[in-house]
Amino acid sequence: MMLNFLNMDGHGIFVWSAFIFTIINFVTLHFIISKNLKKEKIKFFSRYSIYKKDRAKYLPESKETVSVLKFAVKSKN
Amino acid sequence: MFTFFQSDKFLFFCLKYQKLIFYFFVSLLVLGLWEGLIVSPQDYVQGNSARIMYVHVPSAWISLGIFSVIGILSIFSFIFKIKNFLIICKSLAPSGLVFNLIALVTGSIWGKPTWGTWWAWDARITSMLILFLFYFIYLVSFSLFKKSKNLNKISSIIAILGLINIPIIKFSVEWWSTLHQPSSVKILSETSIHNSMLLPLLIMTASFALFSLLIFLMKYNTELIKLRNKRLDRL
Repeated sequence: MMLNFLNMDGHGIFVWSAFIFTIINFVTLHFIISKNLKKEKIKFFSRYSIYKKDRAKYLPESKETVSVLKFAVKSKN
Repeated sequence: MFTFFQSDKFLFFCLKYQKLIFYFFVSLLVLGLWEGLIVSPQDYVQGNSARIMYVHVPSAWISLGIFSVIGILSIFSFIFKIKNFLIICKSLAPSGLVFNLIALVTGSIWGKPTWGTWWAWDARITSMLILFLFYFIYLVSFSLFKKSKNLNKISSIIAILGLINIPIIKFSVEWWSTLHQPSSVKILSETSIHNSMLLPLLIMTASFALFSLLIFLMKYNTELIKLRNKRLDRL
């Protein structure tokens, strides 16, 4: 029963390889994109922590600074 | 809508709904695989090999759809110099490229038991290969012209040129005599595919669309954080 299902009347090798190829591509793409996202987030928070320490230097805050601050605070929640 | 994409609201939307979209995608994919591999019947001519359709067709549809969006946004980006459209296009391209690759490879796998060959220089297949090359060149242009002021112009021109290929792909099976079969699923006229096969096809299409949305959100999020990193460097 199980072997018949896997074999699919001789077409199993084609069907399974097509589905497996699709899944492998999905997993690889998701892995690469999430790895890059994580890398950028880490970079952001390390830079942001340096900025936070010397925040007094950067006052008065521009529109850009406020946007960066808002992002850092909200994305940590 | 454009202000929503530009604002922080979009970033928080990404962070909030990314997981939800992922779980929804996985459940639809499992349901689609169950329907496609177990529930749906064999094709009366092609037998079980027709099940490859459940990954091949949605991938082709989505890769065509994504490139159409990239092309249209690039026209606006080229004329009105909207930088945000460029970021949206850049974020859409990776999933489009992968879906195009899946369509080509699974089509080739399907070709062997059906036509007796892995590859044929048929109009539909060749035009899909050209689309893949356009996706590839489009993505490469971002790293090649990273520091160039003309990045927007160059990438937009590539996308607009690629857009010409979309109607060629769509109508290639009608304009030329090809090995590839004509469309079975039509929006404007009656579809020639039975409901028992149409249902898994639509479920798989929905799950693939959700996956491309998920990848788009993650990539767009990455690009926005990159911009913030640049701003922090400037502070």
